[in-house]
Amino acid sequence: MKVKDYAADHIFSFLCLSVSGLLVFALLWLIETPMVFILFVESILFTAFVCAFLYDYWRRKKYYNQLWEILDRLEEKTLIGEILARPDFLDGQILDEILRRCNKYQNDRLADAEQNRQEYREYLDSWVHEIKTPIAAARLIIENHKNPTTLRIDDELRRIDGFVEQVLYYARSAAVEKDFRVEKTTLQALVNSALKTYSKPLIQAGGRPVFSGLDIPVCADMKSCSFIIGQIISNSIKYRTEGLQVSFSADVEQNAVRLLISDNGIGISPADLSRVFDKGFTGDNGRRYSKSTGIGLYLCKKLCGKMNIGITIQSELGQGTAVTLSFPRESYLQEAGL
Amino acid sequence: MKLFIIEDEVPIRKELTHFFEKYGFQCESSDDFHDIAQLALASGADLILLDINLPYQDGFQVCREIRQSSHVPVIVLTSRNTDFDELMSLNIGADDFVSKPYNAQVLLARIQKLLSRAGGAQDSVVLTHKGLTLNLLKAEISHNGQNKKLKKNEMGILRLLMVNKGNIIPRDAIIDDLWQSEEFIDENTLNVNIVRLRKTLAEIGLPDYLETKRGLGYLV
Repeated sequence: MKVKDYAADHIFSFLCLSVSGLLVFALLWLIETPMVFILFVESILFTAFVCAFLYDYWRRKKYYNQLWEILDRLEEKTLIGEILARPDFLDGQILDEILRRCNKYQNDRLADAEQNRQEYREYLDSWVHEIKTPIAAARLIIENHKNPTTLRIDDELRRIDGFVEQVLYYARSAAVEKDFRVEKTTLQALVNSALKTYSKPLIQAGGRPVFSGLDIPVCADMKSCSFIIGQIISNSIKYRTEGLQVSFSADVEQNAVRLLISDNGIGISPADLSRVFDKGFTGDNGRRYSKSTGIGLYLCKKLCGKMNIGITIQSELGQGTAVTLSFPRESYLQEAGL
Repeated sequence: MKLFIIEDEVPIRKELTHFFEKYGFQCESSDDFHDIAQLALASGADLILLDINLPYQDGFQVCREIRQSSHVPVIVLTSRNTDFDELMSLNIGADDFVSKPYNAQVLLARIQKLLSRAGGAQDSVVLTHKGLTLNLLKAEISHNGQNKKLKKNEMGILRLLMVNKGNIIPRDAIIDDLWQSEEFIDENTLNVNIVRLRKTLAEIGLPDYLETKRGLGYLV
């Protein structure tokens, strides 16, 4: 708060002072008071006003500067009403009271929303686990009664299970807590687990996995990683051309182990490529094939981010798409003390 | 070999029983969950399959109770596939953890592994259909006293067809079954395997054992 601004804000008071000063001057002059005396009275008037003005200015400046400083330093801005000292001037006290009430309202709403979100996530979690029981029962029934019809139902059950998994990982990706369990595994094990999940659509599309040099140890959360690889494989199946081939190869660098998943599919146009990880983005391919939800790669990116795995995508229209996952290397993690 | 299935979902219990009986296991289960641990122990089972979500008490409690008096192998089957449950199960003495929806073949493989480690492996798992006997542990087929060894993939194909005897199994389902045991074969390899399997069957006197249903799949 600057004196100039404060004075400009009190222009009316100055106007009143000037008018009253002039009136006093005129009055005293009319009753023929000596000039020295008039000036003395005027100076008393003026000093009194300036003192009052400066005192008020000082009190406000002290309070508002403190307010700004706290606001800047505070992480949860809505808590400012709680930690502020009460000002010793009336308008400040009113403002303080309003701020407190507003903040309390905001904080209550925030807490409510957070609790709702938490409860919703818990419900979703329990729902996912509930729905798995009938899916498991139905798949067991088919396991015991395999024929062309039931096996087609099994394909649909696997799709349902895939969507249910997606819900689970969506909830997980939005959670603040990181519930991942990192264990020692190999790239081959991660890829195999994803291939088993997406075996049926891949086989039906005439697809063939090709591996090269995947016996490389990595530390990763098995389930989440195989979910991510599964999403990438499912994209390769969706956007395929004749003679689908999905290749998995590995590449060891100083600090990272890279898993390259490439297909010979329709590819992604350069205009769309930078946005494929955006939530809800479907692009040209998504519109043409109308099966895209724009969730798969978004989830991959988010989960990778949480697990410190790098994910990048390259593609050439008509040639195919390659997704690279870079896992931090074990030795690198050890050096970092993790 | 006897399995005791502790699972409150009747359809799952029924289908698991049905599935394991095909592979020569005896299965027992109960609807009385008050004292299920004692029932399981009293049954003299060689292995216990245990669900976590149970009435009256949870599976962890049951597992603890079993462990107090027995070292019988326990596999936890659950839909709660959180890491916490997995760690908890293993910490209180379960031998393995499988989350739903599990692949029945994978479950079977794990059971057989645990049983063989416990020293009580099945001496023979045998499927028999139309005069042909398939020994799953020896990978051997026999008919009229003639024996032949099978390669891994050929046995996988024959096992799938014999377990589902009388039903047509589509080609993609056969390939899928092999993929589930991490044999990522393609259509051509399947053709080769089928031809070889037919040849082996013909050698022991069953030339037309494996029928082809054009456009649908195979059948024994």
